[in-house]
Amino acid sequence: MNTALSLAAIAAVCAATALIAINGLRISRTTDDFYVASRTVRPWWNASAIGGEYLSAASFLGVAGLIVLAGQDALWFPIGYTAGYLMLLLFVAAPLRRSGAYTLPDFAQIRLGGRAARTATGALVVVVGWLYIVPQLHGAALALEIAAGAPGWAGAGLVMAVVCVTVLSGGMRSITFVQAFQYWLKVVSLAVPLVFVLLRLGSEGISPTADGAAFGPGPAMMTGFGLYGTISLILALLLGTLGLPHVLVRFYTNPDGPSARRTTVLVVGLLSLFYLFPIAFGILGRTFAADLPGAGTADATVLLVPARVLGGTAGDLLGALVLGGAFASFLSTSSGLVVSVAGVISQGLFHGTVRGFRIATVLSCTVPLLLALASGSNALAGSVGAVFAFTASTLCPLLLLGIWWRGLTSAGAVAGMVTGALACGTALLCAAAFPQLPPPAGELFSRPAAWTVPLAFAVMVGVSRATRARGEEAIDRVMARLHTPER
Amino acid sequence: MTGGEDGPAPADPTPPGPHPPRPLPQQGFTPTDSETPVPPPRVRVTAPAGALPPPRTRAPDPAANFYVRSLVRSQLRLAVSVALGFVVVLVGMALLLALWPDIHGLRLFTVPLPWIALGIGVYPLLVVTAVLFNRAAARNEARYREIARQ
Repeated sequence: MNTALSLAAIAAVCAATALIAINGLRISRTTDDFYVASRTVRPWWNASAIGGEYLSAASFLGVAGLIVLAGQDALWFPIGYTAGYLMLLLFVAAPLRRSGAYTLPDFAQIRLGGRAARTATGALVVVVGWLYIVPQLHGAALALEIAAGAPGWAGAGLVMAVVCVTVLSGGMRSITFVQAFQYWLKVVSLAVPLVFVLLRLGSEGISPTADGAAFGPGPAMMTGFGLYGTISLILALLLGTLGLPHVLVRFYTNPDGPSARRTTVLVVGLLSLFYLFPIAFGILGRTFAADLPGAGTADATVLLVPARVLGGTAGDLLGALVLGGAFASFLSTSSGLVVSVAGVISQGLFHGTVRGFRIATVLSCTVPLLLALASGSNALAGSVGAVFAFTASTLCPLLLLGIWWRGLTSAGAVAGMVTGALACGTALLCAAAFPQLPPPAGELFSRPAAWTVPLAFAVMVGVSRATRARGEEAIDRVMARLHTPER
Repeated sequence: MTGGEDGPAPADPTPPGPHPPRPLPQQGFTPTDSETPVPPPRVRVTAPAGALPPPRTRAPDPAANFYVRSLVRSQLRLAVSVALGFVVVLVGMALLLALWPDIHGLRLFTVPLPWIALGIGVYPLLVVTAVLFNRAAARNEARYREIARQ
């Protein structure tokens, strides 16, 4: 790729992001502004912002990379990423908005009372948020390395620095505008190069699918997932979305329950539109970037295909456009996560002040950066899938049972979340430590959702049954609050 | 850490101490009626850490609770049946692909059928399901509102 053009594209995206954020500073003045943009964001803006926030490095780079690596099985990832929002719409969107809570720990406290559930939820939100930022930074490191030969720490450090400045200056309101802008930037930065690539291939009479050879078995870097693996993956992606903290905090910016639902419907549409492009790039990549898996850089498929097909200045320009979109996705997801993690930390440790929020922001930028520098990754979609399994086994049962089951108690919620976190965390660590485990154990550890999610639900229900709930009257009040329409 | 403790909060009551409270500035000095619009001052507002926002509902009465419970049940029934239907479709597709290898031979414009189904076909299904659910959920709420008003 052309280094000067690439750096210019990255600089442009970073500058635009910072500019919008600093403009947002003028209208962002109170703690409410910082956290929830005063709940005045319209569904279209909000849906674009959710899309912008959600489409991370795993979607922008990882989906195409995984298609090159694993072929047809990789198609389950974007399906799961999108269908997760259907589950969110069905079970969570409107009640969560009506709960009136700022963050997930607030929800735990409103529903269950007492500090224990709040503290456990807060700790999990922070862990999930930090773990989810790490793959974004790996993506940034890879992108800057491919584009400009920069060392790994440069990309990760750049993204965290811009995010830190953006969040510090504007909080949630400006983040909403930034995110909405970035969704459309991401769509355009994949759609335009794709059109040019297909036009060029058409004019030269080259089949984009190599006459169907692109759909053959993969370059054998990765075996298929198997039936258990596929079902466990679907479960993790469907339910994991419910617990993603940066997604949940977005719902508080809707004015009421029905608008939260409308927003979610729009999000499902926007995501469906977006994923057509990475999938198409993945199929192209199986012909035009088939050498990348061997080099361990399959995730760079989207970045390299335009230059390889078009060549010359056109290829450089379009490659730079894709790179800009990739940086938009690192920035938007990371800043969304930083806002929600910082929100939780500042309420838990700093009494929710603006200054506390700023200290927490710096903290939640630094820790994942250190984690990212200390670890490596060569399949972004896979590492994000692990985070989904973790949230599906911890925060998802809390939300589903908390919203729909009157019998949930504080002790039950804590026990279920701790069990899910320990089981899923141990399994994932085992899978990372011993990658060569034989099939049954290996799959159970690397795709644990199919057994850790039911386990967490079972413990949550069992312990709740065995302990005393709050008074009936308190539960009646909370349930009415969550489920009755506003007017 | 005590990050929020320094600097007096505007809303703080006067700290107890030997000094009398400072005299308020004279009326005429307040710059409230200047011509240029002044942005609202930056305030330190503490989030309601722990405090439940005031309940929106009236005092609990048995009849109201009964209606709420039936609303919750009908919304849950709707959500679970839509979710189950969708999961059955997804798992069915996974089973079909795993148990019927010949399907990979069926192609449309060089693209195998499983790639079309998984790469494109699922998404319209998702959007339609979402739109239909949203309507049904809003209908449930409208029915509740009608009953609750009586």
